[in-house]
Amino acid sequence: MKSNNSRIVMVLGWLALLGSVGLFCLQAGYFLIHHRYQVEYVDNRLFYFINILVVVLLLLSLLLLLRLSGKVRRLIIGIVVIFILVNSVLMQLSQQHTQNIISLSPNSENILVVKQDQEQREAIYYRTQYYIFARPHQRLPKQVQGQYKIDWLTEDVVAVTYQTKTGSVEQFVGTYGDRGDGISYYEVGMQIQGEWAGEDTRAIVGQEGIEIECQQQSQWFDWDDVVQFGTLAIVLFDQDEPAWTIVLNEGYQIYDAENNPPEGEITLYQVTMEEHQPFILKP
Amino acid sequence: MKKILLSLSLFILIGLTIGIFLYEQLEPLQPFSLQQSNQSYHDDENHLEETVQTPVNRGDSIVYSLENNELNLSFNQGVDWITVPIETGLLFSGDYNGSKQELIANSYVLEYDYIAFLYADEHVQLMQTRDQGETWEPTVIIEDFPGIRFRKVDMLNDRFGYVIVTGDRTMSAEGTLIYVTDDQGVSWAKVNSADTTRLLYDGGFIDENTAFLSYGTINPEQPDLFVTNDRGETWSQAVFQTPEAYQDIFVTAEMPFSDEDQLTIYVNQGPNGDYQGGLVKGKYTSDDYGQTWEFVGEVAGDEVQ
Repeated sequence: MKSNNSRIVMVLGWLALLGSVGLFCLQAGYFLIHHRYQVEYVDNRLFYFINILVVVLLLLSLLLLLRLSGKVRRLIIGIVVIFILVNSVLMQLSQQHTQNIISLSPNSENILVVKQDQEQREAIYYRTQYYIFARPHQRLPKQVQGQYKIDWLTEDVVAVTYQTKTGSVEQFVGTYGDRGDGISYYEVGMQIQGEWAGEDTRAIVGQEGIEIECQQQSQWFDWDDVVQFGTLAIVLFDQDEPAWTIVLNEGYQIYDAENNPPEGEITLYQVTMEEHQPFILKP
Repeated sequence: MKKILLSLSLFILIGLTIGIFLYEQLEPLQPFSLQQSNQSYHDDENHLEETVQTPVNRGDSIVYSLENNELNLSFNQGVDWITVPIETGLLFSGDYNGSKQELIANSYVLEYDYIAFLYADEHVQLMQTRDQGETWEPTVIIEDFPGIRFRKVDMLNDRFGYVIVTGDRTMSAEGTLIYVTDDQGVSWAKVNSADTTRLLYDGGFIDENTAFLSYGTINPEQPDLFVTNDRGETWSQAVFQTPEAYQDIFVTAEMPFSDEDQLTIYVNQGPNGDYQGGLVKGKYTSDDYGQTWEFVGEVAGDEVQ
């Protein structure tokens, strides 16, 4: 029984050591790939968190594998505690300097990563790679003031709405999927030509532009005032301010090779800082 | 076995510690593409189509352009251009992540008889001209200054001017240096700055003796404004008489200005303020050259402009 227990202790000790060395290699490798592949951790604080994990696992392995005298044991624990404290403080400071905004899609398959420089109030949208790494993709328009409102409109489309320093409201749309073959680019506006209707709401998409009717009020947008994000969303601008976002919902079938008309639903979402539900529109 | 494990542990601990130092030095990555967003990308395209050399500060009497890694000046609204002999990258060197399409605010003086651009390589320098760009004179203001962050140059009259820079930043502490000139930038002398290492928000002279330094860019809790009335010999912390209801709201002091026979200052809500949308500012006035400030009321951000 005793030898069984000690075997378990040994195995756990070696596993902890293996984990610690593995994570240490990850940290060392980070500097290499940061430079070569231009990637960062999705959250800047992750670096310090992994540091803490490395020393905790290391401590665990030492305690399990070695017979240490009380003095040595206290010394090692002391060093680990100091190391954890330093990393915790750096973690806090890091968040004060760069705010990490991370949001998981409802099905946990896509991650929105935005990092904001707290002094300049400038934010950069990142594309994630291998879950824990992210590469800067695009700067968000204008300097950000206050909090972000994040809405996953579908599993692969996220709208990030924020107030700018000049008081206007901006919206950035992150897209992570495709409704076509994933190879060719297509114009969202061309794919949704026709009339769409939902509860109290209509969108009429024609050759000249888009008309949105909502609660008996109508707004017209020329194609010049429409900006496409990825291959899933368009944002309609009213005097250079985003007013509405239209998204191709999941299951939407674009024109195929035989030119069969598109099928599916679209989401219409008003750009405002207030919480509200998107409208689902059908042909 | 014991020795090997302990040596390995020591190696890992030293490695992680070096890693922390390296990590703190890493510059944040920038997006590959120049496009700011789909929308402003279109704006840039339109601008390119208009002219080859586009003035950034269109409408000012002296305009500049920053294109093809050159800084150019025009005194006739973009008809003729002269090139400033300066490497444009040095205008944005140090701890700066903002736009490089236009000069950093307050890092230059554009007047008809005096033009200056503040830049930094290993030294902090001014590229100056007093003859509309016929001759340019680079002047070293501070030697061996690491990691410049905040930078400001201004000339209050045809003699007196000042340069304020901060740098050597570690975490949320940095040093502030102030230099003044009495001969339109020919010679510069260092004066004392306030005794604090917080990050500078803004600073400046309003006359030849009175200057202000406003601190606190990260999570400020109350205005942290220092004032001198003897050209930096002594600094004291200004006292704000804020009604209780506004105590935690107006936290970052902007630069005061002279308004008839008293001084006026606006105190904004800092980076995290959300009172009335975050744009409302507190207005204060001072009758003792900025030592004490009395609350007047709140003003909307756009009224201030």
